[in-house]
Amino acid sequence: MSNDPATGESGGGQPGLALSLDRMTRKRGQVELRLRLDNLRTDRALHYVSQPRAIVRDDATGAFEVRLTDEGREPIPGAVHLLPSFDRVDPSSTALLTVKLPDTIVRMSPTAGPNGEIQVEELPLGTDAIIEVVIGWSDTAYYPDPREREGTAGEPHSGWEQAQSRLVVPPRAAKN
Amino acid sequence: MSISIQIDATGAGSGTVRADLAAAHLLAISNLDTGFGVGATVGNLQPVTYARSEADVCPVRLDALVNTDWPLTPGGPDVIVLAVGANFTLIDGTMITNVGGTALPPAGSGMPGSTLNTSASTLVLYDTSDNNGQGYCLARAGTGGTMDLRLPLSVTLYHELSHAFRIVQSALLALTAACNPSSPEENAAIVDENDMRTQLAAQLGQPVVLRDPGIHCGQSCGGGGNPGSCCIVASVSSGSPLSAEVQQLRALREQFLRRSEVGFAFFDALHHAYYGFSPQVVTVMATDLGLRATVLDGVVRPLIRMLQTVRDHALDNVPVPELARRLTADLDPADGAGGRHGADGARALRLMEQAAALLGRADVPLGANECAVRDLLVDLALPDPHVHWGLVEPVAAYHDLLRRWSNGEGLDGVSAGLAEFLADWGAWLPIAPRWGSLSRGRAQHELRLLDTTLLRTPQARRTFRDRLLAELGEATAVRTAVAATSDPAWGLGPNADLRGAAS
Repeated sequence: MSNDPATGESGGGQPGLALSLDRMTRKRGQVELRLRLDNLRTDRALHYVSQPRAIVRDDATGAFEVRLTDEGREPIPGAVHLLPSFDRVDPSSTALLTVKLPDTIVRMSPTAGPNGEIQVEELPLGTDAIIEVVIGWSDTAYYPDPREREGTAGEPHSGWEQAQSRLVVPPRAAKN
Repeated sequence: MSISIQIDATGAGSGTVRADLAAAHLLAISNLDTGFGVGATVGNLQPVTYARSEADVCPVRLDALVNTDWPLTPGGPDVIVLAVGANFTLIDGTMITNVGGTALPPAGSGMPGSTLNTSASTLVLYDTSDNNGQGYCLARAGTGGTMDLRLPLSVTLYHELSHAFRIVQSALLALTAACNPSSPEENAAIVDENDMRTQLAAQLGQPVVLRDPGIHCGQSCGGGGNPGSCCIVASVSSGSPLSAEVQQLRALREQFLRRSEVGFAFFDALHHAYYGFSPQVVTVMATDLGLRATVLDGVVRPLIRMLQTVRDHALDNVPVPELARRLTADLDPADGAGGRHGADGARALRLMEQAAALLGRADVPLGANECAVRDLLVDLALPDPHVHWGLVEPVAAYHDLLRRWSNGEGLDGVSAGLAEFLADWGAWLPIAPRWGSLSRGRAQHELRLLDTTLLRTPQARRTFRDRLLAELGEATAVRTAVAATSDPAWGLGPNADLRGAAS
């Protein structure tokens, strides 16, 4: 599903959504990424998830994956099913998407405490952090599926995605 | 004990874990029952105790959860409640703000969500930030899916305890990916949630408004719609979240300012900044009646009058002299009541000076609490361009008009000052990043909308477009929209650098 970040190539010879970093700034309590989204297709607008859905920290590398996609996410009980927001970029056009992240994430630790209790941990998105952004997109707008379905398959709109674009933001890319 | 509250004994949550709020929300669920309590902390857990004397549905459910040793987790705790902030993520990275709250079955139980739980207890987590202050908007029952019903925090917790109640009995219903219609499990939790809504409405003396159990989908409210989370400085200074001032502010925001994409985005940014300082400000104001009066008469009411003036000019095309006449009718010290809001002319001027000093714009002696508020505003609020443009500049303009009036400049002087403000203010609307991801048609629509409302002079239109191009000119839609809506004589639009924009 991933594509070539430089060309937007999403397989099958079709160009897609090329992603690059336009600007990264740090404000009080917040990291702001301004992403440049180039639609390399000349015939169709591309629609993309425009809001972070998950921030996954790779404990082996310390990198953060900021996911603007629900792909792979299993349904869990919840107070509300908040659908993501979507935007589009026209054919042969460029959009600038600003993604705001907290400068510190508090996560439920993947390992329990010595007595089996829950532990929480603080994970700062410091200046030395590697941030990878993943954006799910499609050449068709998302429409909710009103059919009743059995089972616990993933998020309803994850099947809408045709491809994902990725971008690695290197450490110390921020302008203060 | 069967329910425990997770505390942050190690400090790792750094203010994100809010055991105090969890206890308060459980108390609300008990219907403020005096039999509710919390025991001594053991490790990271604070056990809940409950000797019930209330007979309502929610206390009975809480009683069952607290005082039963459920077989799924023999010896307990059966349920752990973890109240967290907006920057909390689950193990898989899911941001808590995407679900508002969740109930995770014990690790190894095989139920949906159990792989995200490291403990042997059912884990109830919920977002105490109310979606970063923007609120969750849900489908109101009987409306066919109108998403305007808010999710109070105690209701969020009760919704998750409903899931937990079935989890501890190994009786979780089917959970599907769809949110409209709701899965059977979510439908059941919303039916239970409505019991808590009914109880809460009775506690507050408000009408009962229920959630549609058939729709589990929701959306961000973007900060609007709920008296509880709107305009807290205005709420505290005027004495009530239901006061006329708060309702006026909310109406101006919802019916005028947030109707467009960029207006909505502006308020997203403003709300973020506003909730960075306003809780501290209202804490200082809470016990100081004099300060509350200064803020109400010197800041809140002037802001309302100026925004109303801008609205009347922008939407109803009311001419400036008429607007000046309406404003001076408010300012007239000779009307006995001293302006229709009760401050006489001299007092109004004094209040304005104090209010201006709170905003760091005048040098007059201030009391300790006023100094504390001024320092908070100068440090946290004024540097933010959204606060400065949206809140400070209109108030400062009103103060300027009052000074002109009191200096004897008459209606002409006030008209001149007001015309100057109306011509210039819109041009300096902070450029929302949202412009960068608008489609071409939408960007053009937004610019035209601004032209007919806030950018009513050629100079304002040109200045704003200059700023927009400088900030986000790389976005194709922005360049195209500027090109399509600019006067060629401005040197923008068709003459601007439009590489790649033509199509």
